[in-house]
Amino acid sequence: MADHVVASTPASWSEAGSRPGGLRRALTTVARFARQKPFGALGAVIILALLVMAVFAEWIAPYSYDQQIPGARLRPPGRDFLLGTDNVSRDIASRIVYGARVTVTVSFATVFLGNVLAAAVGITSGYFRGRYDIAVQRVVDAWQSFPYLVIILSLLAVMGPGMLNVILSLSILVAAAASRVIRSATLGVVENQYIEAARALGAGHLRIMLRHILPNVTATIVVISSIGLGGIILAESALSFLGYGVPPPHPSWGSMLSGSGRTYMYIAPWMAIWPGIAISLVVFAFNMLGDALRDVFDPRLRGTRGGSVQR
Amino acid sequence: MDQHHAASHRTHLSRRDLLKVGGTALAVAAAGPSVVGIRSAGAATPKPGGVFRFRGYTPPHFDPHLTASYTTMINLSFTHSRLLKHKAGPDVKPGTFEIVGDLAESWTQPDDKTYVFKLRKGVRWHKKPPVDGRELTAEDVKYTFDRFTTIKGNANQHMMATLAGTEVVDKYTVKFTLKEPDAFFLDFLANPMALCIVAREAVEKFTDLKKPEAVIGTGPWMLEGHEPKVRTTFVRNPDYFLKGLPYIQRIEGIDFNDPAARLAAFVTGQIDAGPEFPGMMIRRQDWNIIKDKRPKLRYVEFPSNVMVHAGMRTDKAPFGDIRVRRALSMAIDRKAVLQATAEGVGVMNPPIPAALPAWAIPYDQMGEGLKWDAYNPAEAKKLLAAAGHPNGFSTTLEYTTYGSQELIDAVQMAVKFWKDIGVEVKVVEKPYAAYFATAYQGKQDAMMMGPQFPALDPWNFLAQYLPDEPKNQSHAKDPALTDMILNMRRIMDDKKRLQQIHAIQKHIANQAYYVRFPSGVYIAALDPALENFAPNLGYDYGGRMMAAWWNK
Amino acid sequence: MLRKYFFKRLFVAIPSLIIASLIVFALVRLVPGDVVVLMMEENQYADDLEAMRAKLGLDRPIYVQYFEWIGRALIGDLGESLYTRRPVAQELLARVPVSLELGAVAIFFAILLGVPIGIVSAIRQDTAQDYVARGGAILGLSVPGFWLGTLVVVLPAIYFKWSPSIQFTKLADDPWGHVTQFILPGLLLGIASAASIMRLTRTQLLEVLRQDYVRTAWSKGMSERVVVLKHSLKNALIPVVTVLGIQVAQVLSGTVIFESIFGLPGMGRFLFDAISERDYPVIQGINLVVVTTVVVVNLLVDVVYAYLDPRIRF
Repeated sequence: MADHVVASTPASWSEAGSRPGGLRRALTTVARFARQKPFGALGAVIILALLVMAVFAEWIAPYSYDQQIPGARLRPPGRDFLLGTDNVSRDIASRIVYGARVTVTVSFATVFLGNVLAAAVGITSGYFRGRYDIAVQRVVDAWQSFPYLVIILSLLAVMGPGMLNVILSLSILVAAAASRVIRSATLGVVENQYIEAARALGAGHLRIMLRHILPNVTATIVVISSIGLGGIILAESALSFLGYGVPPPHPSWGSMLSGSGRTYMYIAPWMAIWPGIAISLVVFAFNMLGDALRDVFDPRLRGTRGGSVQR
Repeated sequence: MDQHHAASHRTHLSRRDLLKVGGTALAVAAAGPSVVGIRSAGAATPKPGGVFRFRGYTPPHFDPHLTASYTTMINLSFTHSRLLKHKAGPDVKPGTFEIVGDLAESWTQPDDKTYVFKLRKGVRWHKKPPVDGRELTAEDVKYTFDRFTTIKGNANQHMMATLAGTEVVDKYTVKFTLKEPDAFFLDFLANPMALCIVAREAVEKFTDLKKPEAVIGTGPWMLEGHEPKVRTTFVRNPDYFLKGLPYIQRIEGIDFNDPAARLAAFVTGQIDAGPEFPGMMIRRQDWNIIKDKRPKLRYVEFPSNVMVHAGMRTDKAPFGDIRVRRALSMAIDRKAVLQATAEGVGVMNPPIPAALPAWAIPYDQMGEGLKWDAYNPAEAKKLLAAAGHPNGFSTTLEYTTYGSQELIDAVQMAVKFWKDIGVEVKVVEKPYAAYFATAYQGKQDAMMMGPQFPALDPWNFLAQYLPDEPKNQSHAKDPALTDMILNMRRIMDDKKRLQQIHAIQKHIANQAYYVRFPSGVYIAALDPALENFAPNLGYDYGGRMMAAWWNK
Repeated sequence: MLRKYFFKRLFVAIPSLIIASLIVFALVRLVPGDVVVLMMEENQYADDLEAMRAKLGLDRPIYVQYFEWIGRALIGDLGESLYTRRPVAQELLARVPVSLELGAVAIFFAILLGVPIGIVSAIRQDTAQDYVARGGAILGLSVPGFWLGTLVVVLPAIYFKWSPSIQFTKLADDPWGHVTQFILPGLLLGIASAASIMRLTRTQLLEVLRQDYVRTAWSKGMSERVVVLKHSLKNALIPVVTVLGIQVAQVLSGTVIFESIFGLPGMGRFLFDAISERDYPVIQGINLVVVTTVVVVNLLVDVVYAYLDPRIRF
């Protein structure tokens, strides 16, 4: 995560990986980031752990997420089962690890899709301006004046439950908010002389937008994405609570907490505590990292609506 | 069968014992200081007055002939009367339904297809416009049944499928003529679903009975206020036809959406009875905390008649093969399911749920069929191989969550058990309404899973094996079985009919048309000051509450 | 000048409103045909497909449908609920005040928490105070709302035998009980919004603190409190006003979770149920009311903004 950010930024941070001795330089950069923004660095570490769990779930988890262990129902956390077992005699630690995969899939896929859409709308809007911009912005205005819940639930009610449908409906939500920020970032970039120069050299609109504007608004996108990822995870858990979340057998943290966690909270509080901690920790991490990146890249980045996704 | 009811107070049945005694047993697994309270009603003089607060339900509307929703029926059970009703009170054993008169004072059956009801005299409608306390007559009964059987959009019309017509003999006598003998006809009349008597003036004034203003009945309470999703309140009907009844002055049904908040409200004394479905229950996993925080409650335990089953398209491969169906059934460890979803306290179900001991065959008497209920994955694999699926097969299963963690867990467990014998089942979760319009009516691709309608009569559980029934989710088309079921309905002798019902259940179990799952044991939790009240299955809240009173 | 801006802004708001009403209108019409079939079959809203389409007005030309719907909405007729058969406008009238009250309490707490934390973390950027204040605010945001709500209801019930009343108290019945029942859900809802406000306050203040006139004030040796409060905060807070406009849409309907847990009969729960019941006249009605409110509030916020900050004229 952090490396990706480093590779796409202004002067002193940018070319770290490409020169001889780049590794050392990159490490120095990371160290400096960690020193200046300890919370941001902590966030990055947590997210790295999340990604590792998601990718290597099969190797890390002692059991499969759906394995029912005979005679091990509702065991409290302890030596045999680190985080305890649930009412179906499944190992909670393993479900948390596999749940990371669901969390990563849903949040990253949503933010990716949403930002692709947002970039398409935001960059063209900021680049062409004029009537096109006005028209597009009115539609975005209208879209933003809708309660998020209406859009998501209406879509899910028509499309039915399912992980893909959760991703699609959440990404539309992300897109509207993000397109605003990307548009204003684009407006700033368009003023630069090199855009004028590229145009003079006969570059087409598409080429200018892809080669010159997109790279320059990437930092903005990364920052809003980081905060947005936290919002998506909360939104998914809220949807679980409302019965529209990622359905089983995928062990989503949101449904572990809102479903069986809440059902057994008196006799097996650990069933709620662990997924709750997992969600909070990761959302916290994404927010802290996002804030730190924002401080570093652009203290003026304002009007960002990331993180305002309702829980 | 009634002697199997665990009426003894401190019987400690271990969970294993419970499972062994199975079908007919009534589980009173945990014993506290107050279990299965059979309180003598005559101990003190009933005191009128007071308010009873329970977890109520907001109905879609109040017209009993235009919805099958139990939420409407629960509310109308306070305000309306039926011809017949189920006996209620502390001496009624939960799960049994003795038929007694409600508006009918007496009735006769001159022949197999004719019933004559004598109505009580002096029954008055609620004093609300436009009916304004007029006397109820035989015309009202006829009007109600005509409307019930002819109105478009009545999902409960099947209940009166055998009714040919009603006839007013005189002001207080009404005659019902059937198309064919129907041994369950009286059960349906007494059922707290849909068959309450309504007033013609109300229908004519409001065009239908959906609005709260149109809730005008002859029942013990009158609808006082209705705030959707907040509360529905009822006030005592001073002119109720049973003089002196009801005792309780006001009923408040508080609609509350969130189970955790409901529990908090119950623990802190904001409602007088347990808040969970189907009425006055608590969840077993919350029992300890409730005992701890509200120590003086009275508890009554009886098995649930909500029976979950998995249906499969027996008209399609591979489910047409009886070996496949038996294998799917044997793959399930029912004890483990009960353990995971009901804290291990529950009953194994024959085709009619064990919660209805008058009709369910004792589980251990199911004969051949018992074998297919026993957990035996090795044998299941052999059966699959014999059926030509040595490596199993893939299929889909449609369901809806009903917002129930227990159901979600049961489905996940079943899928895992099937996976263990090589059958890959892909779960398709549907929105509630979509499930109801499709899989619930047998319109699924391959398998479906979910609770059946929690009927109080055996007919509902057996009718679903008839070929044209929409609820024949497994598409059973078994001429021998069809004959057995249709003939059984014509047998008026209870004993002979019971024998036939047992034979039918054996047949069904042996054919393994459905994979039946066990049911949990309900715990009703009540404020101990509520006298002369006993919970039961079914939605007749008002009928059971009628003679109850507060001793505080 | 301000009047001119107002009309200019109004000129922008009207197309947004029209587009929004078209989206509301299209939501029902764009749903695939089989949903209309489902509405009929599942909920028995009509006897056959023709009747169902007629009931939804789908049997007439689309522009006629739109103008008729808008025309009626303008005189306060939002149609009748398919599910309860009651007028949508009447049902909304009972629920809008609940949502507005909850929203007002939530925004009050959001400002109460968000602004001071934002100030502290800006003037003490990258110090321990910054981390603690900001970390605390974000930690509050990081816990799923339904879980916080559950704990707030359940823990006192267990430890103090007290829990918030599950019976909604009407203003007329008990004014004090009515107002106090919004405190807990409002606080929880406010915590979520507080993080956004904290962020915006912080970035705005950081920016203003770098402005020349503030530097001048610093260099003149004014005390920190004076600099922050007198010179910077006022300017920094102006944009914060705009974020409140954004919160309105959410507060008006995004509160279904807290309404569920705390038993408040507001618009969120109403909307959620209507979506589950496929009650399209209700969905249309709520959406139109919410969208109109949001557009109007944003218009007002922008005008207030322009009034407060004379530099803004666009």
